[in-house]
Amino acid sequence: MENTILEYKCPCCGGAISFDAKLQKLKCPYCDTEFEAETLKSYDEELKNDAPEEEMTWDTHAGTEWQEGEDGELNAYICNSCGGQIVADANTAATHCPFCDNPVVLTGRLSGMLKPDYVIPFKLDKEAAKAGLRNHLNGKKLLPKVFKDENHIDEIKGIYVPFWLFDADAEANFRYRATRVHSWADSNYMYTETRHYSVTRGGTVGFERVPVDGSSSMADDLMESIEPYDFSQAVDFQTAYLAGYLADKYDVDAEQSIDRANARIKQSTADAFASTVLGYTSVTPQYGNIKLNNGQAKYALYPVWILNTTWRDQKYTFAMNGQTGKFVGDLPLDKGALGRWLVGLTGILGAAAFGILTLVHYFM
Amino acid sequence: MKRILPLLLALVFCLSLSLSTPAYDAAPTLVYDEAGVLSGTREKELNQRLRDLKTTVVIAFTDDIIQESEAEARAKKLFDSLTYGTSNGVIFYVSVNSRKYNLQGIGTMYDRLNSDAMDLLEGRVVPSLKNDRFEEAASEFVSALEEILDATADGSDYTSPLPWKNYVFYSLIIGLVIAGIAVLSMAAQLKSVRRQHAARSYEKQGSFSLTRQSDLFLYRTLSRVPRPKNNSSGGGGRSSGGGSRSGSF
Repeated sequence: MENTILEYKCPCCGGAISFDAKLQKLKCPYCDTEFEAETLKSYDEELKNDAPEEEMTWDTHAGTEWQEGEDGELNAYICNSCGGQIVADANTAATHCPFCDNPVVLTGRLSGMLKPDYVIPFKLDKEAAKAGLRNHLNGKKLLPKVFKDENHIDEIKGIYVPFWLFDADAEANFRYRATRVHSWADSNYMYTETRHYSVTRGGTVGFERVPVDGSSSMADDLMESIEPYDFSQAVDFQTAYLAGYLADKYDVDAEQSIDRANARIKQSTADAFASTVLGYTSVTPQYGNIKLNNGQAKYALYPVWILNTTWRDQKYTFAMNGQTGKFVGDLPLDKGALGRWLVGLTGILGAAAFGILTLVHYFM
Repeated sequence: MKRILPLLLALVFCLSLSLSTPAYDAAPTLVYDEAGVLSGTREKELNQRLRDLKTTVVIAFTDDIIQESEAEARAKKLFDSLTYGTSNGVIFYVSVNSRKYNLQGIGTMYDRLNSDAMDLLEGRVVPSLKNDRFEEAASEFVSALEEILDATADGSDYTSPLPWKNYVFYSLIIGLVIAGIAVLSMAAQLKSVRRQHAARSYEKQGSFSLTRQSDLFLYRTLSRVPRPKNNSSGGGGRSSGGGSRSGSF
């Protein structure tokens, strides 16, 4: 693997620049000069050509031995700005220098077959992520109060997460058993007539860019929870967008991801055709056959803010869609508050019910 | 004076005749046990309790063979004959052979025994009638009627007492169920991480095409259930409302 490190240097002052989500431009934090991402495309190429290739150097300090297999997981790079050593795992594609905090892009991780087709740039910045967490905690009556009070964010990371985007056309045939029930009565009997039908539906439906998380370090349920992304704002991949953020390359390939995409596409197809079976009292699927055609996958990086916090020795991870701001993350339950709410509400609602029953008793 | 004296004597004679004639017993019969279901002691006791009431109340156990629809008319007729046409009162009529009963207010008592009052009377007597405990039914009837007469002595309508123990229980159950739903929905707010069910958001716009569609009728089934009858025997069937109520036991 090519172990190349890339920093975007300000053409004005030489400071390391990063992508500003608010401005949707690259901005130098030192001289405030702004640059269009598009105009830096050639500059990016030039920088890549100019950047000296660094040989991979294994960190073999005395007294520390790599565990079996571990040595293949970490790579070390030399920061172009300060010369400090950047150690990154095999999937890190963009990070910060731990010494000078300059944003760097490990371009070797995103080249050749590994180069993403698209990227959705961050639209929301770190402050929006913090505000998202505050909103997320607000209004949760069963959230422990001390969690809000003591809660502090251990880490906020803006990460470009690798996604596989699957396109497919589904050709489907379904058969359902359906009933229509009609009831009536005369003076002696109550009648129920049930009419049974065999209902068939067939046709096609297309799906585009169904995302499947291609990073094993990101929880799949967390990544699916912040969907959907608006792909209309995606652009052709440029490393310039990664400056200032973290980025992972995929470590779950398209072949491994296809089962999840298929499952979601097939479920949507079944839902779509079932929604056309109308006017029946009951509908039971009996047979379904879904054939997927024209399947193809694209590789894209999607923006995600990850916030980690610790409370009572337990780690809580939150995620925010870096494009839409959708915020998710499971929260702890205050069992005491749950009991108090249950008892209190039972008392209040029970008293109200007693009042209504009493009124009904005396006035009806 | 000689002329007046015979007249006075005649008057005294007439008066003495009228006084010496045994008085006709016009007191109404309050307990009528043609069916012989009451013991002598209990009949006496019931009689005493009925005489203490402020209205004419008759309890009648008969051997009549009647339909339920005839119970009301039969009860009214019996009341009239036993009370010599008393215009106001109450009768608890039971045809032991036909296992029919009628509870009826006569005259002003017709309105006084409203639906709630009838519910109370019926609720007290029917369980005993079903078990052929006629003495108990009669005693319960008098007790319930005493409660009703006391409660309506000031002219107010009778309202059945609040079954507050039941209401408290039902209210707590209702409160607990609604509170449980509310609290569960609050707890659900804490969980926001879940996998997507499908890929609806990624359906290509306008790509859905229904090319095959058929709804084939196969067969029909018809089920028929008899409607429950109001007056089934042994089921305690009854009419509703106030004033008069008949039923089976």
